Amino acid sequence: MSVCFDIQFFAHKKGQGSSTNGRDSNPKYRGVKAFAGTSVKAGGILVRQCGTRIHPGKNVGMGRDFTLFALSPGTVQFGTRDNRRVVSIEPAQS
Amino acid sequence: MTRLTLFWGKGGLVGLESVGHTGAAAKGEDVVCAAVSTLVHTLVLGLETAGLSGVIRDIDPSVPIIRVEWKDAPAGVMGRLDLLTRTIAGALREISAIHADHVGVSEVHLK
Repeated sequence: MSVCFDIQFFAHKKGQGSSTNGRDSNPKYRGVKAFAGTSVKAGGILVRQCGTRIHPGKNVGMGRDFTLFALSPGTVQFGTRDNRRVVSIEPAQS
Repeated sequence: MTRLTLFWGKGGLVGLESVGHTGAAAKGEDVVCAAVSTLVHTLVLGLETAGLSGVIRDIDPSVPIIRVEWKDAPAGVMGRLDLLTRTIAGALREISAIHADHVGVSEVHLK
């Protein structure tokens, strides 16, 4: 037979469902940028975060967007203080 | 709604056009569509079994449309086809009577 025998030839396609999902905000690229044991220069960014998930320790400054950065060259160290996570810089031996 | 047009000539039924969705249910569950599709496809199968080729003038599932025409068929073949074509035409009329919302049949008598 030259024609495909389709017994649903005159049927509507199944209703194509729609979803109300499918939206997302732009990525913010947060997170730890210099891990423990890494040597960094002064001004190097250590952590991008929303709020103080990690608090600044010795030789670490915090920007207005809670970015943590090194105040002096050295090695990155993570620790805890009063049940908070803290990042510090162990100055390089000059 | 599927609109069926039956074309009658001197020798009997000489053409059929079927256009549109039946709309009784979604694809895969539409029993009215299954009935109409089966009858129309059976007609095409019968025409080809009787040795007629090129009877399909138009077929497009996206519309959907099937148009077949065989008014130029030899008289001998028309005679053999008569029982099949009249039966299918009658069946399509019955379906249209039961499911008038989904199937409409109109008949054209060619001079």
